[in-house]
Amino acid sequence: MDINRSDKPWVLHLYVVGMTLAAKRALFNITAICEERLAGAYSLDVIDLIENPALAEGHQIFAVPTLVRQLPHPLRKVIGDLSEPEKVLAALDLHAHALV
Amino acid sequence: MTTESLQPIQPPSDLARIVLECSVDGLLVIDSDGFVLFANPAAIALFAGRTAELAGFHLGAPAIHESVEIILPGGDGARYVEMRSTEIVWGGHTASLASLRDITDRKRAEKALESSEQRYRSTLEAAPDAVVVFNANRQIVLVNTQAERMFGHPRVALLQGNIDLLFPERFRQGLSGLSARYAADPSHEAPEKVGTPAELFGLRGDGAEFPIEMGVSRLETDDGELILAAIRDVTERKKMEQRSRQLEIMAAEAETANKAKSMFLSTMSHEIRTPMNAILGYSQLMARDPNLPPEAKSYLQIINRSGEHLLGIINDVLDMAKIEAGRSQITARKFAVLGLLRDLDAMFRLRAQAKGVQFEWLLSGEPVEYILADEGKIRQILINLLGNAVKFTERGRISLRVSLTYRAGGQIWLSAQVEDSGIGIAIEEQRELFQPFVQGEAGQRGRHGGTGLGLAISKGAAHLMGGDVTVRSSPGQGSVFSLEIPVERSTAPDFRGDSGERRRVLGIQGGQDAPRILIADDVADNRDWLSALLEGLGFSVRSAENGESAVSLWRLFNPQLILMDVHMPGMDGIEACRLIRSSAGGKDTVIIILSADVTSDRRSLVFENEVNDFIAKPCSESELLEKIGAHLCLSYTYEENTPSEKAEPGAADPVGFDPKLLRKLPADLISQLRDATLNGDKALLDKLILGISKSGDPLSARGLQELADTYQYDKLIDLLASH
Repeated sequence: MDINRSDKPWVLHLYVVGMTLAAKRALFNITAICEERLAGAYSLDVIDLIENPALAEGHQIFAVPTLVRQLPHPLRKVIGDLSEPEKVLAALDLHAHALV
Repeated sequence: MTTESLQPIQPPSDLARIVLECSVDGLLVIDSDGFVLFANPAAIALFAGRTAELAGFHLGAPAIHESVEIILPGGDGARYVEMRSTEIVWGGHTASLASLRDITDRKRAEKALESSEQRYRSTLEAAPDAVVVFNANRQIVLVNTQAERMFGHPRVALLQGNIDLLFPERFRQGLSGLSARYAADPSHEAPEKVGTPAELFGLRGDGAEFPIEMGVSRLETDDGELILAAIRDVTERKKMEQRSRQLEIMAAEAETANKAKSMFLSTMSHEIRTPMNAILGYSQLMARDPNLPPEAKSYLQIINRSGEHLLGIINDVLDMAKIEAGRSQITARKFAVLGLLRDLDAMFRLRAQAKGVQFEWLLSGEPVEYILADEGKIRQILINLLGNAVKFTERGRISLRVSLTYRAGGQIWLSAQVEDSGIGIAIEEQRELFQPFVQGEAGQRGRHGGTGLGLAISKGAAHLMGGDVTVRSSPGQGSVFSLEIPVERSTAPDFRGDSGERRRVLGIQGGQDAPRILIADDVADNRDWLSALLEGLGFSVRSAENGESAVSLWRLFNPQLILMDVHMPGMDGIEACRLIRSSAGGKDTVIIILSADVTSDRRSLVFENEVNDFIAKPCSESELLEKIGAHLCLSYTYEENTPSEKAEPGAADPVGFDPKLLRKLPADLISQLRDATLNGDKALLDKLILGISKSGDPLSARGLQELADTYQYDKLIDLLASH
């Protein structure tokens, strides 16, 4: 899978190991944030390391759930269940991004 | 973002470092871009294997409200971590202090528990029974797929309902008692069966009831006490049980009926034969009355023939019943095969010739003169086979070939083949041929009469002797019936000269010219019988049907002996005798008068001293031969002495049985015998008697057996009662 190919300006990857409670919460939270802030301008993929364990190494994932901002550059990472929207916005540098 | 509200933290002092290093929890300081600024040894240990240098590596900024379970992947060594984070100021910048607590062990334990629950579930699913778990409120909390199927409710419906859903109204009270009992007495430990299988039913979703069996046990859980019910649908088993009960009843009924049938038949045997003997005997006696008008004579003949026919049928039916009931027994004794064949020859030669059919027989194989076998049964079988052959053959010939040959194991076999050139039998009829109560083509029945049991009896008797009767035939090509039975070679039976038993004459001893005998009798049956008998023994015989022809034959044939009937049309016997005696050489001929009416004929014999002897009719074969032998100074060959009638079951009294011997038997055995007799339980009786024989009292056993075999239960009871 070529994770960098997308026609959207925002490309997000959520790394999980199985759909644990934390993973489900993370997916729910980030989807809500994206829909609010980036509707139509983002792509979000869930990458389950159970199916592709090798990706953990390649993408430098040390803990899951980890949300990776693949685009725009630079690469940013957030870990946890993303249950603090403020922190997520800060970490992804979404504050500067105008509300749609 | 402001940092004033945050607690400024300086890079740790020495003391703080020591505290951090001793912390069991991992502690990380992560900047707002997600890079690790500081990690204590516990944190480093958590990431061991992934990165040697934690400081500076890009973990990600924590976005956690309170705490979250994260996973540190690493193949098999994945660790489960509970993560918390707080914002701090580190070196003048906003950062996160994350604490990481390793909860891997707890997670593993949870997983193990989960999988054991899974196993528990799959066990439930694998169980053949429907399993329903319900709580103290009778609410169903767990079911397996079998329960869904058995009760015809989807799982959801079951889990929303209570156990009343599963049982007909009338059982609900009892079941609530069940849960109440469990609530009241938690000491129940072993699973308990509720109700007996006969009385508990389940209720299906479609309203149908079905018999069940249910076992329950108590489960102690965190959610309180639960009751597990394992339920089995026993519809099929009930059916099977019912069927086997029915079979048992039927078998018992059949056994009773069979016993009744045996008793009935033994009674019938006696009850029918006795009057039949009277009918036959008196009709024969009456037929000899010379003063009887001819039509009355012919009526009597009809009575006689019908009576004999009827007796034959009765005997057939009784024989068949005996064989079917397994009551037919083998009575083996020593006898000469040749003697048997001569008897058969005497019986069938005339009958065959009367139809213009040739009859021949041949004995071949081993030169065995005497064998040990059940002569009566062999004779019966061969008479049946020959009788059929004569019946169904209109022209050509009938042959009886008997051979004795050694076969595997040194066993000697008697093989007899009756071949005819008769109508033959179609293949599909051959199968039915040996079935009792099935006759050949309907047309044949009308033509030949009879019970059609003969072959079934023959086959049954042959089986009893360890052999078989088989047929080879095709329509129009004649038939070959074969009897094959194993026999034993035997020596000449012991001669018991003083036993008073008459021995059967087999023939005139060799070296003598065939003595010439003239038979004068107006009744063809009498002539035929006598001449067949005498010719069979080696005499030369001529017959005359009245006085005139007797006299003229005497002149031509010059017999040594005349068997003269008295009453004949035209010249009667007395006149014929006078004529012969008064002729030249007439005094040298032996004349024996045969007469049915002893008194009146004797009176009329004024010439009594002119005849040599007098025999009353019906004359017995042995008396006749004895007198002929005496007058002509002949020596006969005899069949070896066998008590032919006595050995048959049905003979009057047990031979040589001393009732005193019974005193030696234990009292309880006597009472068992008595009970068996009173119940008419022949099988038990046989068993008990066999026991007596084995315990070393064969004499008592034989005596009792004879009484039992002839159903002389009254006598048995008398005997047993006196002890």
